[in-house]
Amino acid sequence: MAVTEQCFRVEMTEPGILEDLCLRPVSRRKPGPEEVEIRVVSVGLNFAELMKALGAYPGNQLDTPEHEPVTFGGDCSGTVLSVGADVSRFRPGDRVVAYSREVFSSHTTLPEVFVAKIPEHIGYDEAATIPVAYATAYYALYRKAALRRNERVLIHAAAGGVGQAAVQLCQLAGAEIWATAGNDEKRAFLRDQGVPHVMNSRSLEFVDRIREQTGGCGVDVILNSLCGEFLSGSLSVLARFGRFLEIGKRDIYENRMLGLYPFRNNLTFYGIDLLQASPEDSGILFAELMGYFERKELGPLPYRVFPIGDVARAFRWMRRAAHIGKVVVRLAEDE
Amino acid sequence: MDRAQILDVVVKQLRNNVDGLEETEIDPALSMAEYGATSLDIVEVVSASMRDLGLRIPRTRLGKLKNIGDLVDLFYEAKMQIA
Repeated sequence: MAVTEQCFRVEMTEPGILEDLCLRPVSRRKPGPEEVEIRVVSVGLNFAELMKALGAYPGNQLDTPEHEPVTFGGDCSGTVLSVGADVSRFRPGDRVVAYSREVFSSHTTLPEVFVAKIPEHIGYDEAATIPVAYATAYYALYRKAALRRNERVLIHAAAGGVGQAAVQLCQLAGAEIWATAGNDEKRAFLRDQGVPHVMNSRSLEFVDRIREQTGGCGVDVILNSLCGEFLSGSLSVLARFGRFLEIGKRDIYENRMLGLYPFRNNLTFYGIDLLQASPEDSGILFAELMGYFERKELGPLPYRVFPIGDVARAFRWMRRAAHIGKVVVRLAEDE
Repeated sequence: MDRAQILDVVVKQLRNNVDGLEETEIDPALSMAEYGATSLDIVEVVSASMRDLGLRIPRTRLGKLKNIGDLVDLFYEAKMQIA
């Protein structure tokens, strides 16, 4: 006799306290014509989901209406269960990686543009580290900054998810990396990865150091997630024709003022939020990105995995900001 | 409920949410950040304390607090208003 598979999703009745994260039964949804239903094996946590859980997402962009449970999205990997009538790229049993706002559940149904096949050499946990972090870094560095060989790139919080994706993308492009991170362990990790210039993200010393060691020229590209004086300090070491890639949220949502004077030097400021991209554009970006993994030009991010029973501990681990790369939650055994 | 009891709740939640504070004396004149709390740790300490105290205070009113004592004062005033 076949055992009915338990379907659940991760929810919170209201945001605020991570211990409230729980699994609630849900029913499966049949895919529409252009959709794919996935049995989820692993989920990769993103910072946005943590902020949503704590009710602290800037601008309340992701807040759920009151009296409705908070649900979670992000990155997932798993196997295809069924596909809609117009889907030709996938069939049941395919190993896939995907991202959307509703993936943190045992089963998820989503448009096929958000789904890609996992290259054979990559496992489920590894695959779940890829989508959002890499898509963000890829869009920023390759699409917006049009990063070139030998350019100098400052990556703030380089030991985090997007930071680690940026390190690999910069190494692939042949750029010179200047990285910051918040503690000794993270900085040692970055040096081991071959990052030549590693600095502290909790002090403004990096400003002087970049100025001195580049002979006053500064860096060509900055991938920023720091706020306040760290943002303006970084901008002060952006070289002529430099590109500033802002992936942080706080200063933007707080409408922090920034002087225009530095921009006399042909500088460009990009505010980056991939949530606003259309499904079509996201799909094209995702497919392009996954090609790099297929060709083994990029690899999955470092991660630590937690079982689904420890989901609150996984969120808490991320909240402590002590981790390197990604936090992955394992929902099911892979077959 | 007096200020000391409210401080006990906040200290309990700070210890729950930040590692290594079990034996540390908490001085209300200092900020949680000075005890190693990240900004999101603080968000949860505040939420959990509010739940323990049966309070709901909009997050916008919490931004200007300088230290643990300020938070205790805010909670105390809110408690008084309910009473």
